[in-house]
Amino acid sequence: MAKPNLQLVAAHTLRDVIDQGRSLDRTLESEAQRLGAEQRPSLHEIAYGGLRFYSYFDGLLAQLIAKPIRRKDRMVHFLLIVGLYQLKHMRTPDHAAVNQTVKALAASKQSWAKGLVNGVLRQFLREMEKDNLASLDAHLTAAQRIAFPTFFYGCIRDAWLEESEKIFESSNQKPPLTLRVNQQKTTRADYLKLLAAKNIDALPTEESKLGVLVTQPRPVTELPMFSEGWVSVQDESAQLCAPLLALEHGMRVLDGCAAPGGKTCAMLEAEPSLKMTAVDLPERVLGIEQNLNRLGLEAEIRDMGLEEYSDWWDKHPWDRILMDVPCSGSGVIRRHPDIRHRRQPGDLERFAGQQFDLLETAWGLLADNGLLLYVTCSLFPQENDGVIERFLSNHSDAKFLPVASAGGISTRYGRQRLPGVHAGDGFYYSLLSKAGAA
Amino acid sequence: MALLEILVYPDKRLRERAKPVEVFDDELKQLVKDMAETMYDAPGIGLAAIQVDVPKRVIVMDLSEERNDLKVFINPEIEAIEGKQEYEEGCLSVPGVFATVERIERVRIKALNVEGEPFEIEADGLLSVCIQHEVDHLDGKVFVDYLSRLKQDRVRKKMLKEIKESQAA
Repeated sequence: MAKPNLQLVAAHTLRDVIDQGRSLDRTLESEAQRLGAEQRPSLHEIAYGGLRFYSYFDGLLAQLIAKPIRRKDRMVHFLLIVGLYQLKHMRTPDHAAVNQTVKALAASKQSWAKGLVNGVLRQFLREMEKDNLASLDAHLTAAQRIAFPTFFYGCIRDAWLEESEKIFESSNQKPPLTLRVNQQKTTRADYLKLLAAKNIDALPTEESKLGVLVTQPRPVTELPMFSEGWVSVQDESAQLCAPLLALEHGMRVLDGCAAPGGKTCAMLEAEPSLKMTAVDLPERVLGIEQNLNRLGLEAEIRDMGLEEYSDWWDKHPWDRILMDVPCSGSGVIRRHPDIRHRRQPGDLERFAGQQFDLLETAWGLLADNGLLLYVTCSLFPQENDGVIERFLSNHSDAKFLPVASAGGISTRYGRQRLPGVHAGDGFYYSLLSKAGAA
Repeated sequence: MALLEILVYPDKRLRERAKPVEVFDDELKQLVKDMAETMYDAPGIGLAAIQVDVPKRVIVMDLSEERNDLKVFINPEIEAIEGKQEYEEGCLSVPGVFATVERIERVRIKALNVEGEPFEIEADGLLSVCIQHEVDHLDGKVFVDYLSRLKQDRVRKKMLKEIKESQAA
């Protein structure tokens, strides 16, 4: 049987995301089928890392290649990106990385490029040896140097000029593994002891009272009592949502964009007596159910968009609503290295319109004196304060409350956490209360 | 030590049913060595003797990244344990063609080593796929046989065209 070619599959993955705008998760799911289980961790590493640093390597390649690669030979370009990533970031021995890439060319019927690929990769090795790429780096744009496409680079600088360097830097790092301790089953202090007993290094998170930061990320199956539901994987910034909602015994709560159910479960762990309804699109609700089952929690799940509420709503308004709305994902770039490549001009306006509509829908379902927490994992004011400002000017019964306990930076209508500046992912929170009937 | 020539689909010799090995001598050891060398060079993760035009029930495999874990199966027999899995397979006798084939997920393999001593292992994942692919060869089967008629025709034409081109060149 022929050896499945890791480099070739990795290059295909990069091409599908960069040239065809597909999502990394979906692409990886199908591409991984082409490899043996033993090769899949390497594919994952090259695909994530290759996308994280794509713009940087793309800038280097432009200098290392005399004549641009033709459009129809894009696979050669992506194989080179894979080779450069392996040489710079992985422990692949130099000769092996070069040889494997050259072999991948043969497998993709591009043997004509053997000389080119060999030459480029060897030149790259010489440049690394000479001055650790400094003379090549000197010719890159500022965006390329930090491995961002020009458009996204500009968006972040427009929004957070002063903080942008830190944001860029943290966006290029591998995300940490953060856990939320299930307060119904154990305490953070006890779970930290349990980890220490298993020789797993971990620290308590600063802002979240329930968070544990595992220093060396590892599969969850290696964590003690994970399948028993003692802990869940959840970023620190996401953990800060549930405490903001002032949940009380027996309240009716709606999680309007619930998948994969992390925050749904966090609310129920804080107050198991809640009557919880979790809503999300059919293709996404499966994760909610799995999470609820593992943690032994209960919620009513509705597998449709919130805007279709009239199909099932019993006209009982909710006391609390969480709206963690779909957004640009600019606060979670380190977890999703495809985001920076997939966002186009016009996306922010489109997201903001959708966010406003969802917020309006949810508002109609909220009880008088009820609270609604609006959340995004976006760094852009258009999706955050911008949406809230427009909403407040359209709804005289809405008023924003101070977001007391989420750390981060205070904005006009809420709070913003920034990756690299504050611990955890980039998040925005705004808390709205509905005036009672006069 | 020698690199052996690998038969290319649709060569009729790939359809032959290989015969069990009865004599465990130096000739067999040399065959295994040459097959391993040929497989590593290809590069492949498995090779059946029939692919190098030796109709004996001999298979070599190495799934490791470091290429230092050679497995030899002589007169292998496979028994299904459970499950199904899909995997995109490629074959050294059908260069450049990859296609998804459904196989059994877990199998038990009984075979002899190069000294003629019996052993038994259980396999899943790629090891299981690969051993099923190679044992098929010993029975005159190629992974292309699992594809639709239409795809089989396309592969046959493609391979014939490439053979012609390489002979012309």
